[in-house]
Amino acid sequence: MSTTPPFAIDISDIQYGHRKGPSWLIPRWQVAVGATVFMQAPSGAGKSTLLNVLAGLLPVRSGTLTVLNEPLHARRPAQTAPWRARNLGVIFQSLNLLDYLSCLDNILLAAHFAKNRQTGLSESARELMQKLNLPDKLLHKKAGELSVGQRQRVAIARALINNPALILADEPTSALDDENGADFIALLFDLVRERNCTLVFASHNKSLGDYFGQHIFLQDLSRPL
Amino acid sequence: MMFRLAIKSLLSRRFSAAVCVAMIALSTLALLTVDTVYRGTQSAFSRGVQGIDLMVGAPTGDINLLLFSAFHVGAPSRELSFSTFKHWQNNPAVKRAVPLMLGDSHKGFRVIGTNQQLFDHLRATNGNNIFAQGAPFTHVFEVTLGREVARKLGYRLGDQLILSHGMGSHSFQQHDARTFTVTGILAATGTPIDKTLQVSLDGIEAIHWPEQKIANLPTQLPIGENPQLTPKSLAAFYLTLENKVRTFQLQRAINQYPKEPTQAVLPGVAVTQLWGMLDWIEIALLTLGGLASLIATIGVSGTLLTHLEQRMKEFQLLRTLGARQRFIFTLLGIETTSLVALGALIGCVGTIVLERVLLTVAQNRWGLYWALDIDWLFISTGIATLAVIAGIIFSGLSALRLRKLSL
Repeated sequence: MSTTPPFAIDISDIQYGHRKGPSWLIPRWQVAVGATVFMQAPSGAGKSTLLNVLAGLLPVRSGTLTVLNEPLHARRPAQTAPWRARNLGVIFQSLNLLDYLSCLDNILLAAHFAKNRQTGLSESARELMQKLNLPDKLLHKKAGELSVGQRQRVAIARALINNPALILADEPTSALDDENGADFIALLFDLVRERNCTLVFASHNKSLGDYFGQHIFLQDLSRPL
Repeated sequence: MMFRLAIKSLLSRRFSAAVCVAMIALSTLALLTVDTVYRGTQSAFSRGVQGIDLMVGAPTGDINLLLFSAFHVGAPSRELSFSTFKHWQNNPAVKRAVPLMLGDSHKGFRVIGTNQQLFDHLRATNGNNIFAQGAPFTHVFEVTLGREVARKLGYRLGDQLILSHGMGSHSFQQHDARTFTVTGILAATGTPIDKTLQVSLDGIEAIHWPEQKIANLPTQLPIGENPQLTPKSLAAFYLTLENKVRTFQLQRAINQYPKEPTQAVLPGVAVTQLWGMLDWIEIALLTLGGLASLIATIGVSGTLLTHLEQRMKEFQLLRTLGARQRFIFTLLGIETTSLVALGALIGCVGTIVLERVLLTVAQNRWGLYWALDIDWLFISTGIATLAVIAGIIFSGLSALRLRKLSL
């Protein structure tokens, strides 16, 4: 966050894939800081795998991969946890929250892993919830008691609590109906622009692509091996 | 945060967590109860010969001598002359000698002919308040009762009773020429003495006299007043020595006593021999307890493994949020360890409560008594080790699963 890299994501010649699954090659891909990228791909095309690679959860087999100045190709997944906690916000399709924790605890959990010891974290969480049109009383409700739409919005709050430089979203709207999906994107964009985050948003639904600065197709980017 | 997470996660699965805790508690209870019952039985045996350094009788087997003299099972094959008893009683190394005359009974309970030394012996081993009511006999036709005898037959101080010849509640020959007056009821000792009646040596001698001869004896005859009542022989006697170092020396001397063949037995050794013959009980009990624990272990492992599978998503989420592997393993370790520790703790408390209840019932019903003998150090280290090992195993398993999932 403190440094301003020329590119948030800088890839050359990486090979990646799960051990027992298909592998892909990306010759070159660069994402500028502050860009909003819509990555369109059908299901099963390997977008979750690529997002795991970008998050440092899955190592690349060869090539160089630099995300937010961190040379991930030189790191083992176990070493990337603190970096991920501080610099990344991740939103999934579902299972973003621990059902047995309250919303506030879910949000503060992300701050805990990032060793974010700012005072007033609860206040920031409350402000985020307000911006996401979530009533205050939800803060102390168990995440399991919320509707799907509410849960995805809490997931945005959790992804943003540490003011990350990069947000990775993996089909976050596919469990939502159209109206909730549009709301979700609008709210996400408000907050992302406010913070000048880089956003990589993967989805199979091309109608969402209009909101974004760049619209790329995963098939153009990567080749199966 | 980690503890908060662990507690909330356990609370969210409180039903299955409770089942795990209950299974662990029950198997702990089974194992501990088996162990305490076993050790209780063992200590009851040892207590029966507590404070006795040598048991002396006519030559017979070690275990036979132990059984008839200390546990009142079986009968001596031959008796010892009273002069032999006197001889060893007066030996300077001997602190206390308790004579035993056996062979009479009252309604199925054995009668021991003895003297004041028996009460001195009980005071030395059980403390000063050996009588629940009353006092030792001081006259020939007086009797004291073991706790169990008094309870079963409902006797009170001042009651009169007659003794029978031989054993069994329907003896052919009753010593009905004279009745004995109850002067005392012993407190429960948890030893075979609870199931006996005690009279003076003179008393046993007197009831074996011909009827006319007994009729001439006064009712209130102090013990030792009539030298004719001194017995000629007795079944066995216990010796307590001034200095235990001399036990073997004295044992040899008794075994080589020239005037009469005698045998001295170390009661501790005989009890160990006897117990050695019963070691299959220990094996059977421990096997049962072990089986119970094994079943519980399999059950608990099954439940925990199912949870582990269900929670892989949760752990993956934590990893995405930037939790180190360490955090996840510690979390799982804390959860498993606290489940196991809680279960084992409840099991221990349950055992103590159960044992207390059983002890009260056993003491009231059967005069059984065993000291609650729990090795706290052993148990607490046991629980801690078990819990930590379980925690480590499940953390390790989840580590393997997580690694597989992410690669």
